Amino acid sequence: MTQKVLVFEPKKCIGCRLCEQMCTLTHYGVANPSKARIRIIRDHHSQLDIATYCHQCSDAPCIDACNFDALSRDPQTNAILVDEEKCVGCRKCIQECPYAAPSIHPEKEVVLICDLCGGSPQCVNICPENSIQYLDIQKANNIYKSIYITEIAQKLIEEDKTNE
Amino acid sequence: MSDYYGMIGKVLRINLSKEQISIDTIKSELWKKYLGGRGLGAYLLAQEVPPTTDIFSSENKLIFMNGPLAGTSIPGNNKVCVVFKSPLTNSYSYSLCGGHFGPELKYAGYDGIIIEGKAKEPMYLWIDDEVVELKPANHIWGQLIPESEMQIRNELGDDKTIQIAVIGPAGEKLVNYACITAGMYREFGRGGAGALMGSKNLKGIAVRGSNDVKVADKNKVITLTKRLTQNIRNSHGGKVRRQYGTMELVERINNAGFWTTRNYSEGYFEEGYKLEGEAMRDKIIVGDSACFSCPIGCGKWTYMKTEGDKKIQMEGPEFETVGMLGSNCGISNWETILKAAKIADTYGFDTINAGACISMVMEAYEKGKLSQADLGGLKTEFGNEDALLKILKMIGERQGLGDILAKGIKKASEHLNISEFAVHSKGQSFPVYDPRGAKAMALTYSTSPKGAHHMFATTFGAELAQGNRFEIEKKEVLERNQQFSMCIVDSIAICSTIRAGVPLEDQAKAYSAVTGIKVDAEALNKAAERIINLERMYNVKLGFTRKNDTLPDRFLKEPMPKGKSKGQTVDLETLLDNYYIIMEWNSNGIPSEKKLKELEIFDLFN
Repeated sequence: MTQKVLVFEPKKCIGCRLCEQMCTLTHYGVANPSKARIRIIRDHHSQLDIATYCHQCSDAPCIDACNFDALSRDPQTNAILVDEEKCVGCRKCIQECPYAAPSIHPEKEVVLICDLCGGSPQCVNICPENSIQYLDIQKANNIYKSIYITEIAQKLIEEDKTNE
Repeated sequence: MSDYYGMIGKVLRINLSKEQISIDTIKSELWKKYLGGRGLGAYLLAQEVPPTTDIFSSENKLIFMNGPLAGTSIPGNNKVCVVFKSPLTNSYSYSLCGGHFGPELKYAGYDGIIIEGKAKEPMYLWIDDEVVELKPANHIWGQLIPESEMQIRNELGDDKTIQIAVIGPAGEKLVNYACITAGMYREFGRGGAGALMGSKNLKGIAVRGSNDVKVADKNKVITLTKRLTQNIRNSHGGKVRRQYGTMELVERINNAGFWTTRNYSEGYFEEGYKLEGEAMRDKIIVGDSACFSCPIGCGKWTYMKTEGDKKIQMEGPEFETVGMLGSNCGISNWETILKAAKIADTYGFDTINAGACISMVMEAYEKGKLSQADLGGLKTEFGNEDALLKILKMIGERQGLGDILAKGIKKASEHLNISEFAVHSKGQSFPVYDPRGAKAMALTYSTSPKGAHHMFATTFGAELAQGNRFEIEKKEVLERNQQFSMCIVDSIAICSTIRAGVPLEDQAKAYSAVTGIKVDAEALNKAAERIINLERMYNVKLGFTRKNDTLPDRFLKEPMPKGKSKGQTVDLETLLDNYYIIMEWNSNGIPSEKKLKELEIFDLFN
């Protein structure tokens, strides 16, 4: 099957954090952002809300970093799975992750990484702004390109305005 | 621990005089009776702060209270209430704040905080789950809101997930309508909670939480969250709010001729079109911002370049601010309004009361009751943008005229001998909906226990929709229902805007799914009636009666001069007669012993 990945667009996100709530209600039956595998954090200066979440790297540095063989791939979804028996909460994967995605569970010494809810990510289902999508990896490319060209176009327009 | 889900059952008690921190348990039956938030806060205030308490004595308290839905996924569950005896109105008061502060407090493991006593030196409170401490704030005292928040965050390790509420210089200097600001742009705005916090030498409260909020029926909560999120997004009200925020109201209210203009003397601002939501979106909005668990996102990130390549950026301003610092002062220039809002936001005071004080001075100057000499050299005719900005800063710093206006509209008008231009009820300034254009609002303003406050019952929307806004017949029914409706959302802790897609029946379902307490619409209404009677009784014990349920003469005697509400005045006495009857209060506005016993609150006051 084709690999699907999560794609997040900061400029669409309004910071409601419903994704955090749905994540922990689905996984633990409680609401608790510090157990969420996606976090939305507001930056007042840039007027943006930005997510930290697992990007499902093809050659995942977290798996390579783990000395305890606690991380593996879900053969179905390609998500990173955490073996809670093996994980000791050493935080090496957190240090190695380029996206600050994993975090330590607030009550036990294990790491939290997105499991894609088995292929139907609840953060995507609830997002009122479509700011996080679950897409075929080839189609995800197009989103990144679209973000890129929007930014470039904006820059060019502003340069034009300044030169006028 | 609480027997229930949703709430935690624990309230922090911070005694600033003794620097003592303890935890109270809230009995589970109280949640049933008072719901939480505003209701439970009102009960605790009545228990702990006798009505006759001196405002700035160490006996007055700030009671922050979450509702049972706070921190869950139920849309809009972000409103946290502070209940206190108000420096502005000298009466019972409450104020609600959105954003992310309330839910974070719940995650730290507390339903609320009771702040009592007075600190010897400036302090701030740091709540990091079970670790709670008072930290010195001498070095932050005197700083503006953004710098204060930044400094505290920096000291706590620059963690952006920490939620911080602070007062600015206005709160420290006891400006009687100073607010408490959470997350930079969300305020406990009205009634002067910031001044009370300042009098207690408490600069701020920082919170970080990592505890669970448990829900009784996980599956129902998830299903409801999904359905309600869709409802809200698909509702007309939700869509318009998403696009223009509260500024969508300008067009509706101004065109209907009841947008307060030039110190409430008119209801139509001819330059209002410049300030409509669409113009704002076009000119200054650069993004949208939501409070916790809210799929609307009515917050608007704004940005503007001013002369000299300087920039102003902020969240807002909101509809009330634009009206009070704009139309009501005869000003339609975005740049000035943004600068004005920024002054109020950074010094930390309520734009409604400040705007009303300034428009009062403007009218008094135009009518020759105040001279340039009385005003420290300022010429304050309507539309004077420079005067607006100067006076706002003087209020924040309590200098000259600003020092007088900082006392609040009633005291300031008496001091300046211009009471005929002071538009207030119980000392609280009127927001921007002129009651001559929506008659039930007259009951909202006059009977609200915290003085003229629109959010006590926002009847104008229904009055516009029903096309009966000038009639007074049956308005007592609408008024009572809206008072109950607002009281319920204020107490279970959801934002009133969310009602666009979450009707009362769904609120009851959400409350039941989260808490495990089975309630229906009728039970929620009964609790609301109990809370409103309790709030009323707190003021009755202070000597408040019908004589305090007033509107200024302007709305009673001066027919609206132009616009689509032209010729209208308010017949307040008939409205009050009918309202007291439907509330089962006597003709002097006092709840009967029978009513209080039926609501099981008689013993609280006897």
